[in-house]
Amino acid sequence: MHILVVDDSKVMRSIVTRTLRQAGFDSYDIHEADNGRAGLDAALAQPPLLVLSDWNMPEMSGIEFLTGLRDAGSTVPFGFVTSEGSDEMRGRAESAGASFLIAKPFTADTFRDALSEVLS
Amino acid sequence: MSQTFEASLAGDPAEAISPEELSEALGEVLSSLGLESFPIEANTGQELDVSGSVTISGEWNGAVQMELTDASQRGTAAAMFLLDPDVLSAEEIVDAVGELVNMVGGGIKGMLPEPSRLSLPTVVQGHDLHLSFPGMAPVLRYARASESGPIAVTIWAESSDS
Repeated sequence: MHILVVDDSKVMRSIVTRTLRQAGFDSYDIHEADNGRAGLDAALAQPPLLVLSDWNMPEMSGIEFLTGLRDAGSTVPFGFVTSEGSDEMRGRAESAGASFLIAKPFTADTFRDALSEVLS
Repeated sequence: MSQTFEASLAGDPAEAISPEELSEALGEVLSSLGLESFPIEANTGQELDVSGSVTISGEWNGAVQMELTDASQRGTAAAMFLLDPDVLSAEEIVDAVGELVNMVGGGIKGMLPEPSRLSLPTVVQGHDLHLSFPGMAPVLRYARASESGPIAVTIWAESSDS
């Protein structure tokens, strides 16, 4: 049982993983990918319990990643962890099938609130 | 500088963003990464050898440039990775600076008219750096001091002269 963390920044993948642990989600394995295309390939090959993805990435953006997943028939829960939390982006995320959008900076409480329902 | 920045936000004083507000937002980002900081003079008086930037394009056009000293980039990266600065690779430090400017730029984008798009971050390092963004002019600058040194932010906006 694993969570897939997708971000082109190594340090942000590290911070997201650390925050998951701090929020109490420490029983899951963490798999990583460094762009949307690698994330899509990984999520289709071995479906995770949850995808946590950045939005703005090279190769394939987070929203393209999510659309690709849904087009392939995947219903895996998907949440964005991104530096942009505008109403417009939240609307786009929700329309594309995202469960939530966490804007940076975030805390362990933010993760707990957003992920608890999805991982319950 | 701040007056120009305010005027660029559709000329509505209610939409104005103060340097204090922006500095506080930077402080919150740094605090979330475990780095306490406090406001300092925008002109830090130190040689800032590292520059990270993102551009914003759309309803508002400009760039967010963040400048650090070698010590402050190492200290910031160490806090983000939770590692000793001495064990970090050059690539990891650049990654951390890029992510920091991405976070700060994303926050600023959220205060500006929508829709707009945030670019991927760019990081450059070197002595006596003088970056410019063609067609843009600097409109606001602020800085904070962290334990490892200063972090300055300059906001550039599309210039009507261009």
